[in-house]
Amino acid sequence: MTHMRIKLVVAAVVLLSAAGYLAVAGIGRGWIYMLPVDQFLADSQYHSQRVRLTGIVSREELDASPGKATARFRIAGEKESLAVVYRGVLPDMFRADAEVIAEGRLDAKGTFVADTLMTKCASKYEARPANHPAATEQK
Amino acid sequence: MTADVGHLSLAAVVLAAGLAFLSAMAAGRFAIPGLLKVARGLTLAAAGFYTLAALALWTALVNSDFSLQYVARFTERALPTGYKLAAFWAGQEGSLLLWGWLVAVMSWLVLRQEDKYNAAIFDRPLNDRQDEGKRHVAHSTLRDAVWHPNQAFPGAIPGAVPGVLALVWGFFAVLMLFAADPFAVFAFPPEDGGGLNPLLQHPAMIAHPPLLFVGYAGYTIPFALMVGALVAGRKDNQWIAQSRVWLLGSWIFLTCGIVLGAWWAYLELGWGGYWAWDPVENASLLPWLTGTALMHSAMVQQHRGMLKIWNAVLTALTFLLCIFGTYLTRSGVIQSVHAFGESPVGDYFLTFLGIATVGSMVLLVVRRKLLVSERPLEGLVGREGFFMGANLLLTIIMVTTLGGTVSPIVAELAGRPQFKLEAGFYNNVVVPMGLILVLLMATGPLLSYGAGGDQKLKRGLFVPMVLALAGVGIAVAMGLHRPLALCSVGVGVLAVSVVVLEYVRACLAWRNIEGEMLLVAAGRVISASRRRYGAQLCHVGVVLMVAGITGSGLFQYESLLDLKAGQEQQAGRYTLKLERVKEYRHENYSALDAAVRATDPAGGSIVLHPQLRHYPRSDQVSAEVAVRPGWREDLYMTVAEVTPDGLMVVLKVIISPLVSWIWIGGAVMLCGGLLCALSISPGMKTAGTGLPVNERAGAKAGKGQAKGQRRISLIDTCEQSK
Repeated sequence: MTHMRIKLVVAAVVLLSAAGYLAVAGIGRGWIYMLPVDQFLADSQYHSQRVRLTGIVSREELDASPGKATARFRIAGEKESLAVVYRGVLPDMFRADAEVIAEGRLDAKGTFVADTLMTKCASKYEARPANHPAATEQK
Repeated sequence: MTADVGHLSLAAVVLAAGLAFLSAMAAGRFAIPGLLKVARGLTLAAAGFYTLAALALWTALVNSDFSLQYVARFTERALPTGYKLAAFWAGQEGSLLLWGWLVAVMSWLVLRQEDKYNAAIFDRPLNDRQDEGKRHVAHSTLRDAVWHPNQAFPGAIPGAVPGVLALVWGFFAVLMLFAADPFAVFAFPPEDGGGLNPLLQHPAMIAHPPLLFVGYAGYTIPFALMVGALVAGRKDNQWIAQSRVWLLGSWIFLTCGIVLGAWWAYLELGWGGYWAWDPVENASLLPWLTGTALMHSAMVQQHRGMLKIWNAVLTALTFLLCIFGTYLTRSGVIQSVHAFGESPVGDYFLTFLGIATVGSMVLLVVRRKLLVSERPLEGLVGREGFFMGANLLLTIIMVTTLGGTVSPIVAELAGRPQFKLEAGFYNNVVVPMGLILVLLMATGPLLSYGAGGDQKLKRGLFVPMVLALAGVGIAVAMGLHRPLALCSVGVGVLAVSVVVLEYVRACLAWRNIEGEMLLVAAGRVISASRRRYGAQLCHVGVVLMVAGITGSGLFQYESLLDLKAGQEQQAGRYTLKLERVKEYRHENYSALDAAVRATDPAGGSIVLHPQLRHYPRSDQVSAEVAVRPGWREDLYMTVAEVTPDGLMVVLKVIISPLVSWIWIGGAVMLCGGLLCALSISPGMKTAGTGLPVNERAGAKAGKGQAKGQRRISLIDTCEQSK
């Protein structure tokens, strides 16, 4: 191994280990639990921390629509559901039966206070709202 | 009818692909030059059939032919014609058609260009056919030219190039015929279509997808040229020289596409950000990272004959990442906010990806001896060393991003599907590495190839370092304390001052030697080395982007206000007042328009019009953002709610410092890329004729050449005068 080779390898190793350290540190800080509603309710270890909940917007007790700044609704899993309150701009595709991701934490009264709400919207490429001719045709 | 034209055209493309592949391979194997021409002709035919299919789809879209499912899904009668045309790439099937079409057209362009020197080689043996003895010799030479060309035929096209290209454009046609048919029809056509997703109805969205696809398609060409060279057993650097124009072109298009996509997200999605590290966004970033790395290391191979294996790997990786990104986002393996429907397209992409990956790896291993470096590395502190460092960093960033993007799959396999990486992961990891990269970018241009860089670096860096420290000092004095922001300031000032100082020195040297006016000299210096200054301009663009990302990422103000009619409220340094809410109708939507007057402390005032739009066809409500862009900061508003009486509006207000500089930086990068491209056109001819640069210059000897040589020596003088 030549002198230059050694230098090169040392430089690469330094760079790679620095990157590796950053990545490990990044994983340590930059993650969050993403849970279906049922799993969240079943396990109380999640109740004290910030999580992302996935579920369906329930038709009952729905007090929200696009163009409203506050939303109160129940996010439903397969068995149970949970009251959610959110204040902010509602995503355009938000409606009953929409699949949503709510990020926030449980408050003392047992309501999930969300500060981020995302719809699993049809993507920018696969826009196909429920009443589309294509959607009904293909079903 | 339209559907039949489309289906038949695609079937013809598949047929042409099969024949082109076979004839290209046979041309190489049995040394039959005519078959190469056949492959090229078939490529042209395929490009023609693809064009026909594309025209058919466009015709159907413009004429609102709702018998086609695709047309009904993405358009409606009331949609403006521009958006009807853009609906071509609003869905998966149309995007694939666009991609395949582009690959076929580009394939033909590259083959047509190469045909010139093929003719030069093949004509010789064909003319000498009568002479049996000569024929034997000529034939073996020909076989060498096609299958094992050596330095005697530097321009010979390896037969595998049209073959590989045919496999790629043929793949897209197969995909459309069997998995994602853009010409699928309804038994009973609906009266009107569902309309284009309101979010897509934005000028940036007309251009964003095709720009990305031009980039993706363009990266196919260097891949084919590389595979061709390796299959043919060529040791020279011809393929990288031929690839340059495609690498640069694809990079320009991909960069524009990504920046435009970010701009669209900023203006349309209403959350005040522009990049969320979503899998779909990452998918376009991955090939950009390796493509950027490749563009740099390709120069090292061209000038020094080094980093060959690295370039071959990067070429393959860039092409594979274009395919992989599409697989990732279209197959449903990753749950993204963009939730793509699961479609069989994923399986096809995975198969193609698997074959291409294994094939490339086998080829690289088998032919590794062709990729041996022509000279050893003389020092780490030299242009080669810095290019390697930058390449390594870009690759690490790519691997990190890739790792983050596929982390849901990894978590799933590890039995912890609830584990989810946030944007914070990328920001913590990629941002520091990005800053180191910018540091390398800032200092690299000071160095030249070979050893002895330490001295140059010390001399060239002194003034920029002083300026950078001064910049950081001023920033601290102005109240900036975040370490990351201070790092950005320091690195940014360093990078820009290196570029500017170098340019000023070159201009002064030119003036002193040529005796021209400084302004004239300023232009001459650039036109004499466009590639250098094009690259420098790109680097300045990157710095501007870093400024924009730092400002908007670290210092964004956000608040939700209840604004009653006539009432004033404070948001940051602005006073906001709701003047009125008005309803009005448009072609395909109705809008509630809030007029909000924003007054800054200096007394300047402006009325912004954020809107809530309702699209009746798709029954969607969409918030239309209003922005007052500025070089210092953007004032950004979205309506969250309008009370039924129209007397109160809930407004989301975001003040985003320096965000405009991201778009300006993107535009500067585009200009830099174009300047580099201007330097390529003569180089292209060099590659085209297969002659070394000096021979070609010799052929055109004369006054112009003498002048050109003086220019070149002058630039050297400029560089040495530092």
